[in-house]
Amino acid sequence: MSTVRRISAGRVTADFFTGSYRFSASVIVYNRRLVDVLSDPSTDYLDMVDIYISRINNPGDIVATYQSGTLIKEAINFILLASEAEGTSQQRHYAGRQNLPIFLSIPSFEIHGEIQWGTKDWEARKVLAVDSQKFLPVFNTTASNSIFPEVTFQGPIALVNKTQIQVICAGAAG
Amino acid sequence: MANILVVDDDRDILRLLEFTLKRVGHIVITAPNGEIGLAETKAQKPDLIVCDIMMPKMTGYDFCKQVRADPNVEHIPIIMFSARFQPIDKQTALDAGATDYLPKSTAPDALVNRINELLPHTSKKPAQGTIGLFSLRGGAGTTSLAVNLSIALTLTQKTDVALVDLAIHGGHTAVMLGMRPASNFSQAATAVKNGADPAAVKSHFMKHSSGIELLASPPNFVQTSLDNSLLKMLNGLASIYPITVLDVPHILEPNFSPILQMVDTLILVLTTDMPSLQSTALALQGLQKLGIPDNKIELVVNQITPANSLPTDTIQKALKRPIRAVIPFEADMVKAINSGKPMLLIAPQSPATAAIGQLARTILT
Repeated sequence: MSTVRRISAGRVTADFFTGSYRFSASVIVYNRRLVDVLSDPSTDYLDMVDIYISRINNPGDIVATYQSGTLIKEAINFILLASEAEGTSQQRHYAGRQNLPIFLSIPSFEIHGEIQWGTKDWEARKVLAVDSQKFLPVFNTTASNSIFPEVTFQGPIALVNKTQIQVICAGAAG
Repeated sequence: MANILVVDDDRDILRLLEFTLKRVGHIVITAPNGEIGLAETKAQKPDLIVCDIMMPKMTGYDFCKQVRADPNVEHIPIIMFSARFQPIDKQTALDAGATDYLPKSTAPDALVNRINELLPHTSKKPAQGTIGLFSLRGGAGTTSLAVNLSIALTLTQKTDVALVDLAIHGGHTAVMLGMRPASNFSQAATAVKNGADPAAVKSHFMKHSSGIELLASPPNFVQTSLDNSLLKMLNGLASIYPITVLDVPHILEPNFSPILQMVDTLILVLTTDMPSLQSTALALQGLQKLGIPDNKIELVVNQITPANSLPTDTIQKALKRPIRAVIPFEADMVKAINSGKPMLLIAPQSPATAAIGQLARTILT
């Protein structure tokens, strides 16, 4: 069991990435999971607290801190989480699922990881469809910055903004 | 047992770490931000610091840099403990001077293990020596300090500690420990006079549940002579116990000189009132006349009342020597004494316990 599970009731801390910035911040999710808050159609904004801002070329250095702020969901490239539980929806899936290696390109980043795919035939259109979930969970993620390739981020799960995805490739690299 | 400072702006994390670390016997000081953390670091000189990175006003990186810039505390190990879990975050923490970096997804047991690995005492040889506690004036809390310091020594040094109550008759260490010893130092000294070996001397001690072993003072009025057999018995304790604590009676006479001579460190206990200051000045003169080396003597202020009339600076100036430690007032001390349960065990989180723990870790180094 991790030390910080969700001991701060209803609060999730994660790294939010845009093309130029890394925001380490917390989101109040109450009884929901972060992935469900992100897909909430009633708002285009994500309210954050305890925000620590780093530039993407020097992501260890904190250049500014704010107690609160709002992120436009559409501007998020991807989010890295320390726990898989926050990145998977509370909606249950009963079909058998398998892990599928995947490559994604989004503005300024390329992402390697795995997605869970439940149907026999792989269909990018189905993965990218912005229906109930606007963010795609990618497991065992490595995200590399395409401008500063030495800048990489890793995590057990990333939530990638489907509207930012430029290219998606599935299966083992050839 | 170690003094650990936890710096984090998240109260839930502070509470969780405080609970986790106290459960394994550490004394925990908490600070809700880097500024207070820095002040606590300088005041308490903890054995180890666990520090968050993302904190308002002062980030963990800045906190770490400031600790490393202060020669008095720069040696303290710092574990950065953060929700930021990227390799670059670890590198930035190490560059700022952190000893190690752990993400907050780390299991509590793994954090505790890492803390124990980094604690300074784990790489040192066990401490050894004889410590005497003395006050010329009664009522300074010398005996209660001797009892609690003995327990703190056995917990911090992880070794056997003997506590010898040298009150001529009717000492109070047994009462404070809730014990009814069958023997006393007078009987042990007599046994030595009759040729008893160290194992036989050990049988006169009584083990307390905290781990310390007590050689009590005679409970009734008996004619006790401070002759060579007592000194021989006390000297022989070094072969049985790595650490011996002597609760020395409030007497400063030449026939006590050999006992005061044999201690490695003599803690002179005083309170923050004028009579105690006068008695301590007199004791220092007397100890000098008895030939007790000045570098053996350490001043410890025991704040036995909530209002302290004399500031420590004034005491230091008046006695022309530094104060080694200040034991803060503890409201539960009388309750602890009356219940026969040492304060160190019933109030492990109190500031007084922290101060005694710190004294125990450093007094023999």
